[in-house]
Amino acid sequence: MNRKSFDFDLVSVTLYLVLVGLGWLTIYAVSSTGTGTGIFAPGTFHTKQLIWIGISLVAAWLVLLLDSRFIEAVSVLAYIVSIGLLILVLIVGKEVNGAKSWILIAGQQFQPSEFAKLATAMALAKYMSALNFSLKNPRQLAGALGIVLVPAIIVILQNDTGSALVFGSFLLVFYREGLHPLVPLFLFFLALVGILVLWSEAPGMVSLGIGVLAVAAFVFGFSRRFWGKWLSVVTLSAIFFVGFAYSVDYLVNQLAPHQQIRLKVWFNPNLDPQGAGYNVIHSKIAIGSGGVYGKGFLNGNYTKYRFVPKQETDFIFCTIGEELGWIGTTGVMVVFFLLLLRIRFLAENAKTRYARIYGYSIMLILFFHVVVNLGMTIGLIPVIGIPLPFFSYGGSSLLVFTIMLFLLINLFSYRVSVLGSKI
Amino acid sequence: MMALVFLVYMGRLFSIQVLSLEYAKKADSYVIRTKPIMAPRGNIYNRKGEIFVSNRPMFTMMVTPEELFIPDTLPLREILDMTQEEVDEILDKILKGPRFKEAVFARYIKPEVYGALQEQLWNFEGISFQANNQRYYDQEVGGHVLGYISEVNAREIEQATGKYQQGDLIGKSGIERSHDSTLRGVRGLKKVLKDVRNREVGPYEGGLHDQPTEKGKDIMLGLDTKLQGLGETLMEGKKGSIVAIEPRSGEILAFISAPAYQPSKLTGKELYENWLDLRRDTLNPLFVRPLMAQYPPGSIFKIPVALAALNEGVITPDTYYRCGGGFWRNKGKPGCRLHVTPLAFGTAVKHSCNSYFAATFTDFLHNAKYQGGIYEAYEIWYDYMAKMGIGQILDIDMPYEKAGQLPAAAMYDNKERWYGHNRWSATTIISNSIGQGEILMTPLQMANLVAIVANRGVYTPPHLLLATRDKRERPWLKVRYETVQTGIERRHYETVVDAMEQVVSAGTAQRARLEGIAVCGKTGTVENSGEDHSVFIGFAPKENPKIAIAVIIENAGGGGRWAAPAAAIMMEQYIRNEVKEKLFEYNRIRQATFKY
Repeated sequence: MNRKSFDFDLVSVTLYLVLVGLGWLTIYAVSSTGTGTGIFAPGTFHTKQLIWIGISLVAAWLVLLLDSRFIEAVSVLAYIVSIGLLILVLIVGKEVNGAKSWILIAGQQFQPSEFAKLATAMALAKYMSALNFSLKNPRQLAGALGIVLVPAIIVILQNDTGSALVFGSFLLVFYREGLHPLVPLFLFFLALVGILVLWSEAPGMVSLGIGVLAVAAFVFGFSRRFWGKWLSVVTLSAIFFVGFAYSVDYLVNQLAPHQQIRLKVWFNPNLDPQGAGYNVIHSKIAIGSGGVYGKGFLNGNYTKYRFVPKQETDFIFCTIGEELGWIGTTGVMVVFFLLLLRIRFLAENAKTRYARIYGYSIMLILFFHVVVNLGMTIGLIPVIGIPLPFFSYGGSSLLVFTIMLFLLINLFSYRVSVLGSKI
Repeated sequence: MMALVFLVYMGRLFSIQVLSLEYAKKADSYVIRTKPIMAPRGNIYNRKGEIFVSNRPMFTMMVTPEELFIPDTLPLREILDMTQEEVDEILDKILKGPRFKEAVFARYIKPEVYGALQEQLWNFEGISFQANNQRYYDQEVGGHVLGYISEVNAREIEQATGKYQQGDLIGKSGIERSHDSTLRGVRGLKKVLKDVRNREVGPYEGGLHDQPTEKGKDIMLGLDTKLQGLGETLMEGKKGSIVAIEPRSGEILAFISAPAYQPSKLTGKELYENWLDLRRDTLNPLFVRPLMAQYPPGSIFKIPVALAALNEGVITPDTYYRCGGGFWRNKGKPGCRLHVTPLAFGTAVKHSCNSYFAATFTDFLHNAKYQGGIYEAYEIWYDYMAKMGIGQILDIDMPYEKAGQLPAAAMYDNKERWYGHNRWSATTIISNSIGQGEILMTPLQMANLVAIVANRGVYTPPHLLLATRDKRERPWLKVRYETVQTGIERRHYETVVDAMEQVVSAGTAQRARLEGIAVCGKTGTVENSGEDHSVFIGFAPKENPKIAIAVIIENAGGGGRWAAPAAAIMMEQYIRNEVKEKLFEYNRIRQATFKY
């Protein structure tokens, strides 16, 4: 509390307020069916969300008051508390939609995995910003991986695979901090092969493709006179990927039944139109029916009359698509994109390594949420139940994303005051 | 990389939102329900302009399984008069169906029952009502004339190519069928929004795309419902027909097919059950006898035979023939009572002398004036009969009319089934002269025949529809009908009418006499496998006739004994608006029972 100036980054705050405002209007559109429902109608989603927006704004203001050194200092504690909460949920949690990830705190439902994303970002930033830290040091790399994997594994144990996947975003942070680019490249290929096999249902064809790529790599290698190590690396990778291609089926069968179906309907929702494919079919109809300009605010019949399940939470993008059309969906994506760019700008220009690592972490977490959430509503990604930041109804999600963002704004404004005229 | 992902997403959104129209169409099909709104059917009025058939709201009770909540079935059972087992059975069936779809719980709930239900069911959930119309009969007569309405079946939908759709009510018989397109009105359309549970949530775009219903047109029938009711009562327990026509206009005043049934029997909940009962009835009440029953006319056929012969100059009023208890030229066939012989035309009609008309018929067909012999003569004779509507479809505005039978020469020329060319003569077909041969007539044709005589040679084809109007406030628009000439000179009709007056005043139909009214008529006693059918045709008064009538009572006996007095009762009712003079006959006929 020793800082006097409040010259924080207005751009990101404005973008944040635009997103939260649009989000509330969308929830209002979903929740106010008919004409009689006022803005302050007890028990409705939009009124509850309005309260949560108020709480979040207060929290944002409080976060801005914090001393940045205090934030760094509290990182480890926050992480330990969040791991403790995750374990507590495993024991006494409440099961919602098959995932045991909710806990009741003071009469409010709360999802500790949301908080764990924030705490992990803080702890990782704290660990990796240590002066002697290097990812080339295997012990330190293992330590950093451990910080990410521990909460991820507990969340998987809660049967909330969607949220666990979010922790995968941190791998790209490692890349920014000097991890060998082959690691994300390897993971990218792994995902590509998996998707191709699932899509084509022909591992043989995919293997053939891998073989062709390998031959191309050999030719490329010989032309550049690479020998020895190159030969074995390419051969081993080719064998590994072919093996992987043939084991995709087996691996998929190891997943929970509902996850298997979600993967299958990803490419063909009509396999199970009343079940796993239902959401995707109807969310695409809702979005697609909006046309260029949409049906107009509050005129989205399809979403208003509940043809898309979970439309105030995970599928809220459908209402935007139906009521505001392509203009609306593209506009929302542009705002998200601008916010992400701004966060990267803040991270790159942060004075401390902690702020940079933290900034990249939250940028990637936000990016992952947006891409996966929007991707599933338009049928590009399998249905993974994670919310759309600032839009989806839900208190803990909004509060955590707000705190995440405003911590970075705080850290950045500290930079401004450090570099400003005061010193 | 982030930009790339966002670009891909925007492209995808562009393709499903802007390029593809399929999603918008699908969304509309899920959200908008197009409901047909049935138009109320037009009302039917009698000839005095009194309401005869109208509509009454009826309610269908629907339940939605998903929302169904019935704390106690007792009030429901009491009001709807159902047992616990019936309720359980229906609910069981409904609960096995789709969860969110409304299913019928009870049909044909009367407005007063609906009111009682509304008061009781405030704490029930998942129950809704659909209003529709049902025919209501202000006067419970004329079931055969009116016909009935019921849901259109698959075959009718297919045949009408787009005119009907599932759930439409259409006329299945009678006036309801023949004037269906006038009565039915125009179905409206209502577009409503529905939610994912298939519940209606409101009009689509404020009802902008709705099409209003158009009420069916009202129609006025020529039926005198009081006369109709009297006739139906008179004929209770008997088989037969009474058709009464206003000769001047051809309007049908009464159209009785016995046994009759109450028109309301074929409405509402019991329609099918009652229909089956009527169907199984051995007296065959669903058979519309005035149009569909084809009888040998018997002695009433002597009238057209005489008219044709008079017009051709084959006989004159002063032509005398021998009787002798049978047609002497054909070995005494057909037989006859032994009349004073020789006898003139008037006496022959008065006493219905078979010999006289057999002779007339023979002299017609074997007349030297026809160069072409019997073939030319028969053709001319046939033409006279056809012009009087005998064996012809009269095209009444009712479905299922039968033609009767007027045999053509070609029929007798058929060697396999009949006689063969040049192998028949007047004596071969002599039974036709007295209406006992191959001639078959419907009661409607008999009534039309006597209307022709009453009019002295012209007629307007018999019809039920008098006028139509669009709405209650609009004037009635009269329907015009063309008159038809029979091609027989008026003086010959006068001759026949004089004779027919004699039939009633001093001949075979004295039971048809009315004090102060000159009734003209002719009896018929139709031989058949059982007891004779009793037939009478007549009109009254002699000058400016108001009513022409044909009565046939199956297996009752002589025409003078049953049909003639029945006709007189109807005439008295119509002309004097009371049955007083003929009350004795009325009671006698009411109490009579015949073997069927």
